[in-house]
Amino acid sequence: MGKVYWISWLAFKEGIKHRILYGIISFFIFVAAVSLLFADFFAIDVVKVGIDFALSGTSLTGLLILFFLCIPMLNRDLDKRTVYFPISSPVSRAQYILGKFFGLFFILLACMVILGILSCLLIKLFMTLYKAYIPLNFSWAKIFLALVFSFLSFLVLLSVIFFFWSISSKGFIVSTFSLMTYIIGESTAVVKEMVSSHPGVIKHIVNFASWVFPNLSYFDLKKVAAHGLHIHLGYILKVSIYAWFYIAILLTLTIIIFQKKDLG
Amino acid sequence: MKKFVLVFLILGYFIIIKNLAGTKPLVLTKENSPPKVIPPAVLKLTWGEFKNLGADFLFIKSLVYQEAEAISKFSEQEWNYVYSVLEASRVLDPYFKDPYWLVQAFFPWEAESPEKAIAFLKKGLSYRTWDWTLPYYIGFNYFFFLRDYAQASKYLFEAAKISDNPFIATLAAQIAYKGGKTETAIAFLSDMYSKVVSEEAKKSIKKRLDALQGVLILEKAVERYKMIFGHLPHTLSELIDKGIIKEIPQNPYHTPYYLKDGKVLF
Repeated sequence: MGKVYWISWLAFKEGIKHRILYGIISFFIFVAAVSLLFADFFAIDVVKVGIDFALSGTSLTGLLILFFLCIPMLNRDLDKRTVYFPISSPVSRAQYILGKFFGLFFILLACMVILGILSCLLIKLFMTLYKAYIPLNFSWAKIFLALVFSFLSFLVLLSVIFFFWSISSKGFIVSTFSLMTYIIGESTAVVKEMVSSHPGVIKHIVNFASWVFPNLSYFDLKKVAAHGLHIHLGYILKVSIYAWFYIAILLTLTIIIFQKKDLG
Repeated sequence: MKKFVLVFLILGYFIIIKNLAGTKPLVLTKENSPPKVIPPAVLKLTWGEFKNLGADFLFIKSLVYQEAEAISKFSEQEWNYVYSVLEASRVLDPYFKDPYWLVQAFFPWEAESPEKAIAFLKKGLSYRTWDWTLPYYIGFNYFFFLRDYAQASKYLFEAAKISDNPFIATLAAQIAYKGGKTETAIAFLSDMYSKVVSEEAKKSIKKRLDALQGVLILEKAVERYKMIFGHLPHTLSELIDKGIIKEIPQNPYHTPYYLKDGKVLF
């Protein structure tokens, strides 16, 4: 466990020092500024628009961190052969994978905390500027829940990135397949709905895909937060369990593949 | 040579920009063509997890288009375009209030399409269940533009059930009465009266309720008169003269009840 902690700490330190991280967080600040410029275009649901910008900005920034920070960090280990350093020391490949995963997990967590605070500040600013337009059932708990679920979706995607990284060491391939998985994951629910009335092979293919690819629309609680809609506790629990099972399966597969991988 | 190419490219770029500025973002071929709505599933697929942001963007798009053009000179096709953009915004976020508001603000009045506004607003009823303004707008459109009192009162009743404003309840009852639905109006107001907490609201509803109960007594008497004598009475006093009723009920609004084309009014 100590070795996993050591690798994750190294990965965290490496990631947090990265300049790209500051660029990505600046991007969120830019999104927030744009939202304030656009606010006056809206007539009634102005605070809802502020929440949309805050939560969508967080999601987009999280995706940028995954694709422009996490993937290059993993590939750098293979490209610069730094992967041999921990592996040549008495660290198993499984410990190495878990250490790297938790390192990136904590980078994402740190970013989410910063983005979450910035999101809340933006929403609070909208609420102060447009007091009369606060959604009827607005609740900070639902905003927090939407942020937590966004974070869960990032972790699911991170496990997908790890899986493809264990198969291919080419950054471009890892990025392409991960992006494809993200797009499929976001579309699964809609496509399933579209083909539900179509009997035949397409329906089976889509059903199969929905089992293999993560259904990322489960994690999208932006509408719930923006309009203060009611959400069942059962849903929250089921989706959380689904996410952790998916992550655990993909990490296990990653470890199995990585153990058999010829790093030479 | 390089400088010449650069100047040529920059010139070409500005010519394109100048031409693009006058181009409308819609392709309209047939007169009176129906609104071109992108299929909901395609819209949802395109915007992925950013559907809310997409709804906001499309709302701004429709607003900017209306502000850029003189809406008083809008053709039916141009209104159809605005409608389809707002419909796309609604599909992406059916809880978003602004598209409903904008449709109500322009379509019954400027576009002279209350039916379209009603159809649009009805789609929001199952989503914004807490919002009394949607059924209120629908009821208003039925009442003011289409003169369909039965539908108007139906939706205003819905609005009154959600809102705690007694004005809507009394308005709904008044319209129901105008549409010949006095008993429905009384039942609805009685229900509202029992549920409302504010004393002021209770007083307002009770007054309207008493007035409508007077109307109902007189309507039933007119019906009986017609059954017995085979024709409608000319005045309400005939009901007393012929012994159908003993007296005309008191109207709490202090205006006398009267008969017009067989309908009891006040």
